[in-house]
Amino acid sequence: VTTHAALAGTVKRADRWSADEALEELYAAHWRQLVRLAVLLVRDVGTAEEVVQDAFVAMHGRWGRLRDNDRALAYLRQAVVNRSRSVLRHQVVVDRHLRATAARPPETAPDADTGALAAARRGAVLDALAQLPDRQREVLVLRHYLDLSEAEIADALGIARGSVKSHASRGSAALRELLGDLWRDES
Amino acid sequence: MTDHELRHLRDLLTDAVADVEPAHALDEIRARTTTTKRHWPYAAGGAMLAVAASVAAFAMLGNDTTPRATDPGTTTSPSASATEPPTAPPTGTPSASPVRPPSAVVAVYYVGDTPDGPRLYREFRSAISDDLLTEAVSAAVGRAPDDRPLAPLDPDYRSAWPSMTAAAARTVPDGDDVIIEINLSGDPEGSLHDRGSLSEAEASLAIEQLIYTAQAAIGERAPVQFLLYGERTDQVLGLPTSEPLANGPVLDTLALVSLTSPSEGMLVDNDEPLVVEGVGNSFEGNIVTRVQRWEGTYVVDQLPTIAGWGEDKLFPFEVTFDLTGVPPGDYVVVSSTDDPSGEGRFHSDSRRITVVD
Repeated sequence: VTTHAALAGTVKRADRWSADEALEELYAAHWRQLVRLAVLLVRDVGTAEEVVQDAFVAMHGRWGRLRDNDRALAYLRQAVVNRSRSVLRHQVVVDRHLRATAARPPETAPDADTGALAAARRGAVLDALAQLPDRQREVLVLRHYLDLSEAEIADALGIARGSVKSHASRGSAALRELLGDLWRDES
Repeated sequence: MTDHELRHLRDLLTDAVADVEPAHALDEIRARTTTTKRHWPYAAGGAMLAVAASVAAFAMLGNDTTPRATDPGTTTSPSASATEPPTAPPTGTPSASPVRPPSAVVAVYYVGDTPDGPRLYREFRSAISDDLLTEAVSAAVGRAPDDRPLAPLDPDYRSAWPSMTAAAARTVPDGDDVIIEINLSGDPEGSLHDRGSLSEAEASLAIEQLIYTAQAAIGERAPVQFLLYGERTDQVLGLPTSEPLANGPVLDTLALVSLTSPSEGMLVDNDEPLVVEGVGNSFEGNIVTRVQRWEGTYVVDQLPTIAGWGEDKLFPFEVTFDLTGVPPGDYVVVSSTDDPSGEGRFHSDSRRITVVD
């Protein structure tokens, strides 16, 4: 009886999760990864945080229709990609990044330690991603950072699976080109 | 690409953001979601009656153009009922206001047609959230607090905003005054920066919709700063928005008559007098209201009232109909301004009601 009751309790809870509970759970599990996803898309961390916050707020408002963690997570990813794209179109991020770069004091000669090299490579990867067309960047990041399947990416972006394939191959070729030596560097 | 190259690509991407540790944001997200729990409370006509009753208490607010400093009365939030103390300050976060009576209402400005082209009409609707300012501007762009599409109650009205627009608003202190910040977002495929397929007049009315609605929600004519995706923007819908905006002149922006009560679809008992309230500005103050059958042209009664005229504002009017003996059925209440030119250029607003025994 105890087992049965406990089990029934669990099922009931999952069924009747409120929007607030879902928010908390999904935040705990995915906030960091989604912000990182958004950083790959928009580059600027502050903007990425805003984008993901907006996505969580929208998810909460839509919980009545999602009612399911997996669908909510899919919705969150989609919202992050869409909002990132909007933000980029409005050039806000680009301007902010340019301002930030311009304001930064001239860098001292980097130490020959791995930290500086790693930081340089990270910056170069983000810069290269920023130069890709929107779709190629989105597909690359969903495929290779989030590890989504072609079908999941097609759903998230509202495009055909064939397009996912072609964006992925063009995107990775372009990225390789842009990264040059860094691509081959196997440190 | 080889498997090796794929792994390398994965490592590069993962490593590129490995040092990103986002700030904690759950509290902030929670603060923004405290409004989206309940559902629209009215499914039955009885609730509509209640809304109309609480609307009556502040029928004048939302159209008052008097600067707030000289008229403390306007600081009463029109979104709360008459039982809320009129001293409640409009500053601070809207969600911080004290206990609210159950049937709060907000005034939402929508676009409707007049002989002078499209203008704004005011519609009162019941509100469910703790953030009435955001709920009001959301309604104006066509969204309910739960993100669903939300049409005006009156089918003659519409929102001028593109269909996937979302809006949130808050007040921010500006010295001793307050500024309303309205943050817009929308369809990623479209752009709210340019006016797209909207005409310039429609774009301008869309902006005025939000300015008037937000001002009514806080009960004062505060300037409005528009943001797009959380950032200041040089323009929204092609109109300059770098600076906070004041509302357009009332007599050039609003329809010259707008009904407050009855609300669209309201049930009216024919044993009770029907009180029609609204605001208007008409030649010599004349506004004529009639009640007629929905189908056909049979007029139950037609009564004149005097509202004000001349100043750049709408004046309240009220007229009472005796419905004794009026058979149950659908009726329409129409209030119209006077047109001394005889060219039929009068403004009017109408509501469909159902009379019951």
